[in-house]
Amino acid sequence: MGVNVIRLLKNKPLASTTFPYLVASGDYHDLASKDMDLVDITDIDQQFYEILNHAHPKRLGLEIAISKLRATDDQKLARNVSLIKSIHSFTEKHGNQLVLTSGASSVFEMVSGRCFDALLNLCDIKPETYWISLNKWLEYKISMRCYASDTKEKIQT
Amino acid sequence: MPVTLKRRYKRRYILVLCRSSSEELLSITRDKAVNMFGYVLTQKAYLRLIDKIGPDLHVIRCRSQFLGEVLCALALIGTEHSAVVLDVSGTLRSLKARAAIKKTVIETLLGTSS
Repeated sequence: MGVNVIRLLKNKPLASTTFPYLVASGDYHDLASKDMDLVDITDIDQQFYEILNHAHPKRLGLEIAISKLRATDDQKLARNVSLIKSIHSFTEKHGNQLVLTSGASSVFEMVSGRCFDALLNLCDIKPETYWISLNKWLEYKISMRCYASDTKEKIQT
Repeated sequence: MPVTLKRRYKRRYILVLCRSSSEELLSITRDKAVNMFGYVLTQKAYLRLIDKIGPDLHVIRCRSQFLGEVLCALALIGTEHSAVVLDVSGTLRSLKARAAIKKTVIETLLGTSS
């Protein structure tokens, strides 16, 4: 298994794993859950901000997929760009992390690094600071867990 | 007063992976750029179709000043014509040299050969 691969799981595993993982959810009502690492945001409304304000989740990742932005019309896209901007400032204030992903299901839906940087600039987010904070957030999330060793240790008798 | 040469605007060549035809890709990118940034900026970006390498690789040229806007438009093209930016270069020669390497990688990845 590749070292740089981080698996997304729906539920927290009961036993320790040999691979790094993040617990992800597609429902933003799970924002209050302590086990959750990443919440995929599809629709943003007033309720979302209310839940975020009440739940006060710490170091939670708020995921926005570009594939979902692609599927929207141009008017909604412009609205979503301003919403990404507001979510970013909100996450910065409350110690959470905005996670912009490609949401790709095939090679033709992938998004290159240059395009990510261009999209971040479009949302008035400095790419350098975004990547540094994302890296720190990932390191924190991965290092928080205990992992089982995948190499079988020989017991000396 | 120092004598300076009359400089031409800087260009950027973009290597795009897309299953649509080159003409279709260019018109979709233009439409998206128009919808996102307006006619004036799209006209200033000076989008041009330069070359086609293999069945799915296209080379587009734009003004360096508006590269960010063009990349945004390419990244947000609708799902039915989705395009992937593989490389950006200041010269066509270096882009083509790098595209030759990428082409073989993509062909093995997609399981196609030309």
